[in-house]
Amino acid sequence: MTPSSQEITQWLVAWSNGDSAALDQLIPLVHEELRRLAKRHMRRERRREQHGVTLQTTALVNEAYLRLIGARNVQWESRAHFFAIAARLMRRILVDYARSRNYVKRGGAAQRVSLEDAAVFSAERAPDLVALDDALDALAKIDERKGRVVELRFFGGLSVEETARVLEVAPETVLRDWRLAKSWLLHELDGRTGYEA
Amino acid sequence: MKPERWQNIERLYHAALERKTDEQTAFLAKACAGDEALRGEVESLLRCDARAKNFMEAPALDLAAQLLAEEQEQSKKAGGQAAEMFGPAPDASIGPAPLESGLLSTTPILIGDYRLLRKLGEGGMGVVYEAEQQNPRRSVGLKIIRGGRLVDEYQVKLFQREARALARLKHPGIAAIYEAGCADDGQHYFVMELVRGIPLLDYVKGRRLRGAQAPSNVRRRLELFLKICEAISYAHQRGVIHRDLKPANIMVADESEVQSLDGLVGVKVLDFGLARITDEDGAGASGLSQAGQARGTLPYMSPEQVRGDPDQIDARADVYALGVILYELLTERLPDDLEHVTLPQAVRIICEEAPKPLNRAWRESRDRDSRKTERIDRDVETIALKALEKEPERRYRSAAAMAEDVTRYLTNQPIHARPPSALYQLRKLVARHKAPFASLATVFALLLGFAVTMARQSTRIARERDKAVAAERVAAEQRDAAEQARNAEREQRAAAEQARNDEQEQRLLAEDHLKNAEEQRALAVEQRIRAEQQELSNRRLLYAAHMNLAVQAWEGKDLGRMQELVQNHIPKPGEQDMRGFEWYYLWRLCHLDRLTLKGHVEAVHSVAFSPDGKRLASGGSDYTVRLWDAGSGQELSILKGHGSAVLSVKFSPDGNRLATGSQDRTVRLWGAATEQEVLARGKQ
Repeated sequence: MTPSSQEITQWLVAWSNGDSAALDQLIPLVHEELRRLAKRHMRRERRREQHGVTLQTTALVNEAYLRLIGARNVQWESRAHFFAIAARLMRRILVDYARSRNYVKRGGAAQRVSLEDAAVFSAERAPDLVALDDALDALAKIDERKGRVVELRFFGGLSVEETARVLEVAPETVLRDWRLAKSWLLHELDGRTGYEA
Repeated sequence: MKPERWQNIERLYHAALERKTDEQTAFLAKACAGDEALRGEVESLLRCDARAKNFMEAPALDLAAQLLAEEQEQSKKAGGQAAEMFGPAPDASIGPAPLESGLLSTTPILIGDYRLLRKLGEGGMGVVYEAEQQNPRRSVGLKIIRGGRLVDEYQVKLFQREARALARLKHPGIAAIYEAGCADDGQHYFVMELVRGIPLLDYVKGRRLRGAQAPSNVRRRLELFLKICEAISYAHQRGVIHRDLKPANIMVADESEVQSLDGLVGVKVLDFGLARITDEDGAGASGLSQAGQARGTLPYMSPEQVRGDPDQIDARADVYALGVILYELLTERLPDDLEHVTLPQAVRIICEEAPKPLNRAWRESRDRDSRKTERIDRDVETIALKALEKEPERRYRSAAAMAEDVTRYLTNQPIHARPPSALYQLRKLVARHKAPFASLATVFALLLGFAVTMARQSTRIARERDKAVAAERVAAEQRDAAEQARNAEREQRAAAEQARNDEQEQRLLAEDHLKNAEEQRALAVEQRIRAEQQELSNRRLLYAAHMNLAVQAWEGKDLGRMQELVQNHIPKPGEQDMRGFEWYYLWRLCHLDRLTLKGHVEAVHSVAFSPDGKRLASGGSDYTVRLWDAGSGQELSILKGHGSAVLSVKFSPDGNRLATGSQDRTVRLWGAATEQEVLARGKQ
């Protein structure tokens, strides 16, 4: 049974108020979307092998976020607040997912993959979400707004305009924040792997 | 970092970006005014800028999905060996897949006392690994819940129930459980006997096992099937219903693994993940398998399972699955073709359509492989079809009952199952055309119902017609068989006679012969009775089909065809009377009138009685006027003369003359007694 968008809203609000039980309701929804997208990726992969065509997934991802957040009909004022919560939720669940995946992959010992490749071939390779999560915390300490921009854009799947509306700043500001935050995070991640190596 | 410093960095960064690359260094050197640390930081950020262009541009959800997709692709590719043990893995699900498939690499993974060696396969719920127990040292199968620590309570309950179900079962045909537990990190698992072997269908289709040959003939396959029945029957006795029986869940064990006394290979039933424990679950059973939620593997699911009604599911759902397995074992086909249909269609097929006759499916599969020539015996077909009945109460009550019939067949005893009786089939026929037969009270409603139903289902009726034709053919064959049996009986009797004659000389020998012959005769008699029964049942089928056709004929206004069809079933001397109320009803429809006067070859427009009531005149579109004897219906004469349809006929009051009006714009007067035209007048 698919929960109604109202139920999702209530869970999200409950979770942001510190009710951890609400998270248990939300995790399966995110996982379901993840699985749905993964299936599309697999199909797409096969199609690419067959026809040499790459398809855009942007629309699919947007659709997935919308379905997750289920906030199509919510007014913008509350929706802004709401997207912020949803983005944080996504961050939490996806990083947990990546962490457990790393954990089992490495047979229990949490090790991090070098981000060198991820940085250079970022279009093809995924960044290590766990390391990114830590770096993002560090960024938020220096500049809270940039941390939120990254959270909304990367984890929340919001566009520049939407992010600007949530944060009540000009889109140009978001663009500038985004550009600097990306460089800073990349630099930070380089440094981390550099020091460990 | 102080906020002012950070603001400086930010300002310089964006300012530098507005300049051309070769001017940036000079700009920064000037702007930083000797603060080398500041300059270094801005420059390192600028160096990252180009690389960061695509960084994080795809949302995190999409990246996670890509990772998951890659993971699943890999596990699919590695699924080859897994199928060896546990059949093909269904669509992998989300959650941290605890371990990559295939051989596990360098780092040993320990769960409790067990070291995981390789992944054997995965089902809807869990993943099974080959593992090595440290103490005592032995190879075992270890099953853990899919999804690691992210599983919900419901899945844990199901998982624990599987362990409980297995704990009740100790049978050579069921993989035994050794231990169940929960690892330090909350991972639920249980440990069971490691089964080495291949899935049932692979085995049947000719993959050889060490020391055992693929079962080429029907008998060998039935013996194998009996072993499955025994295991399931045992589970039923212990209160466990499997609910997901399918060939992929049945392994034919390696000879070296299972020592069997009868020289046959052993089977192991696996995966009790959907099992239900009857006495324990009670109300909880409905709680765990939610109503309206169908679980299982579609082609092996009984109608009641497909409909998702957990309260109705009992041991007979397993009997149904056994029926499908038997069908597949014998024909290497599934009874229902569900491959290219949508889910709702599949549900309808499972709930409504009768399975394809075994011998046809068998022939189709034989076309691919000319080595198989054996025909499937009617008794075996009866057994399989009884297990595949749509209504649970018509199936075997239990796996044990099914096993008994198979055993009876294998030992040449008559089986208990009977093909569906003609009465039952007729009832089904009536049920299919619901409205008509039910509302006899209101004849019109009946007719209307028939008309509507038949119009919609004319294709189905065409099929019925084909069936009837086929039934006729079979009946003829059966009659021949009966004839042969009778001849055989006669010959046997002659042989017996002969034997009696020889008695004088060789009494002892003859007595033996006689006994033999008597036995054979009894057999022949039994055969004849059977053939006669078969013929009778075929006649019933034919009758039902003809009644349907008669209704169709009535609807199509083909009275002649209808009468012919109805007439056919007036029993001949010595024949059993098949007729039911529908026959009498249809008969009445054909004979609502006292007399039917047949002669006109086109529509009749007008009829008139002579004043004395003894004769009848009629005119029609065939340009003729006809005179009839009103008492007998005999045609007295045909009056020809009109050049078009005769629209009106009338006798003169004295009855001596007849006037007729026609579309040819003439009125003609006829001497009614002489049947001669006396006057014609045109252009009235």
